[in-house]
Amino acid sequence: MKNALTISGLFHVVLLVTAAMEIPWFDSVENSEMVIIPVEILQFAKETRTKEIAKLPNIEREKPKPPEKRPIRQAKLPPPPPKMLSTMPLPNQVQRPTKNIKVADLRSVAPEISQREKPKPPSRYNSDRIAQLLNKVPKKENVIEQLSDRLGSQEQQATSLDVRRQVMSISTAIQKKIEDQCWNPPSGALDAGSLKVRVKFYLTQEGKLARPPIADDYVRMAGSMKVAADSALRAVRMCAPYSDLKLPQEMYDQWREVILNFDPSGMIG
Amino acid sequence: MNLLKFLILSFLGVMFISLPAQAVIEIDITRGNVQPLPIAITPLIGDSEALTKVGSVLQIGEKIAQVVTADLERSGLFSAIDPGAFINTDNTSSAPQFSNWRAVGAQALLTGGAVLEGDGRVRVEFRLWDVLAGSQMIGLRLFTAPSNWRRIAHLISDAIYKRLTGEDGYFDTRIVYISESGPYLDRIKQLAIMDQDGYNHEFLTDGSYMVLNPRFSPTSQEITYLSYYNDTPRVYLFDIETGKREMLGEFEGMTFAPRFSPDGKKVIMSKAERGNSDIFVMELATRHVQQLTTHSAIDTSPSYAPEGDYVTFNSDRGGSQQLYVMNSDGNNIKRISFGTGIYATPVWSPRGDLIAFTKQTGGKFYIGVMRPDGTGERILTESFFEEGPTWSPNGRVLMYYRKYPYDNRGGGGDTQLWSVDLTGYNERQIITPLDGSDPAWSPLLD
Repeated sequence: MKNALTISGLFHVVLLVTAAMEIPWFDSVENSEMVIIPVEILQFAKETRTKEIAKLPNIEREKPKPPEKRPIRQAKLPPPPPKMLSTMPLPNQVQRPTKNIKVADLRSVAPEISQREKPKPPSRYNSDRIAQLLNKVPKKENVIEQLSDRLGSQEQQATSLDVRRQVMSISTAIQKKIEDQCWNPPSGALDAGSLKVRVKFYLTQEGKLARPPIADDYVRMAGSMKVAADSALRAVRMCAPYSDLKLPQEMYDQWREVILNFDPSGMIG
Repeated sequence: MNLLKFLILSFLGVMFISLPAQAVIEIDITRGNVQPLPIAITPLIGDSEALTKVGSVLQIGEKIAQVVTADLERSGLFSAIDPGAFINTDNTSSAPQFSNWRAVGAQALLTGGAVLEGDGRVRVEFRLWDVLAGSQMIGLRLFTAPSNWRRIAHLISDAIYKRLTGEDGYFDTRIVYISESGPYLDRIKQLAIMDQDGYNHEFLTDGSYMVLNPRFSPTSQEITYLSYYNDTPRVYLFDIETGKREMLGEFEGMTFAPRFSPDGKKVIMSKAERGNSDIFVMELATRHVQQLTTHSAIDTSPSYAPEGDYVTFNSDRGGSQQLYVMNSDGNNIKRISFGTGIYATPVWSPRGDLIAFTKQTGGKFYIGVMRPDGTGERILTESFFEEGPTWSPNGRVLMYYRKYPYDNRGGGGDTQLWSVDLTGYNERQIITPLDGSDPAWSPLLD
């Protein structure tokens, strides 16, 4: 009985310790959806208004107000990728959560924010953290390299948010290469549009295929399904090596194993 | 207590092992570039000393490679790599040096050889390789008389096509068509047959009487056609293999536009009588005739669906000539074409998904396709005059004929056979000795 109690107690302790270890993980993961670069900060950080930003139609084009004195100004802010603008939520200056605000709404929202002069209420974000986040905004032209350099620096620790964002960048880079350069979907079959194939492959640290790619259920496939799988496997092979994508070495564990879902339904009716 | 320690340590061990370890990136690929597949076709190796009536075995091997190249390129789905770019032609039965073929951009590779057998036949072996995977996709051995080398080439093309597209090929097929010659008012129209690439051309009639509307049986090497033999238009049945010809019976009035049922046992046609035309079907075995439509409008050009359960035809019962679909017993007639202009010559695809048609609007003619319910109309080609589409047996390519206008000096008026695939981009002329019209595509040869 005593033993049972001890075991039970220990198990509970282990569970609690595990929970304590895991909770920050979950916390960051959950937050990561909304902790994306606040758009409004672009207004006071003059140096961030690069040509790329200026080209975007919905960004506030008026002369920016003089920047407030904040530590954040010390941070050199690379331009945020235009793609992300559409999903940018409001920053911590805004008290209420405004996750889903669209770029088109920014004009109306932005002046309101710039007029705010009241001291901000305490927030779970601080400006250092925003600066840190902003620093992680990759340049449009060389996403992976930018991320890789930053990761390499000793000053900044990769957070789970970084990991997520980087994984997204890696995914986008692989997707773009396969879609633009390598996948030639078979269009001849009557049911060509419905032939979905799932391919798994492993990469070496140099970006080469570590072993031949595998399509799910390939051995049981026949006819047009096999042809579709062949085209997917060809795409993976043809795109190799993936070294030109400059996948960050530090994150090798994240891109060592890749699964591609080939779905031609959108392009072949 | 040791047990307790063991349990705790095991539990902790399991905990750590089960912590999130390595992530897997999962990506959806939803776009690609539909392009011709680059294929390297090496000449089949053979003995230059082994002579046949049609040249040495080496020459036969080279010619086979040329025909395969032409077949695949004409399909629009493959681009053959210029043999001049080949780094080497290590054409043996062992695995090729794939890196050399990768270097020239090949994704598929054909290698093989030909050998003269003791009985005078030629043995052709070939292999299709996946260059990127470094593996064999097909390996086949074929025997034939040396003079039949073209069919070997077409069979190889069909095998490659099927393995790389998932669809049956259409290269080992033939075309019957109406060969035309002479002046506009005194046109000589003969029945002619050729391979789908225009080779092995033969005339089946001598031109002393007019022949129209040849149609292949979907199941055998038989054709029906409309002949004005003895100045009386009648539907005939002609067996290409035996040369046997028979009339499908005496009909009152004029019969035309005959077409086989998918099982080859019936012929559906239209019959004109006193200014009206309706659709009839005849059982070939019993010669029993059944009338399917009884409308006062002109119903013509019937064509069966591949399952034989429906028939499409054109009719002016709605005021203008449009396409209709009905059950094969003549019931449940529904109009399916509603676009501007008039529609004619509907032909159901052998794979059932589409109906091809000729459309006339705005002073031009068009070949197009639509789904059997009338949706998804798509125009594939247009010109001054074109009509009479016929499907390749795999339902991917249409052949039709195109007529050019006469000029002021009595020239022009050329009539040519053309083919187009379902993308509408791969349009090609089929060269015939004389002018050609009204083509009909055979099923795959046995």
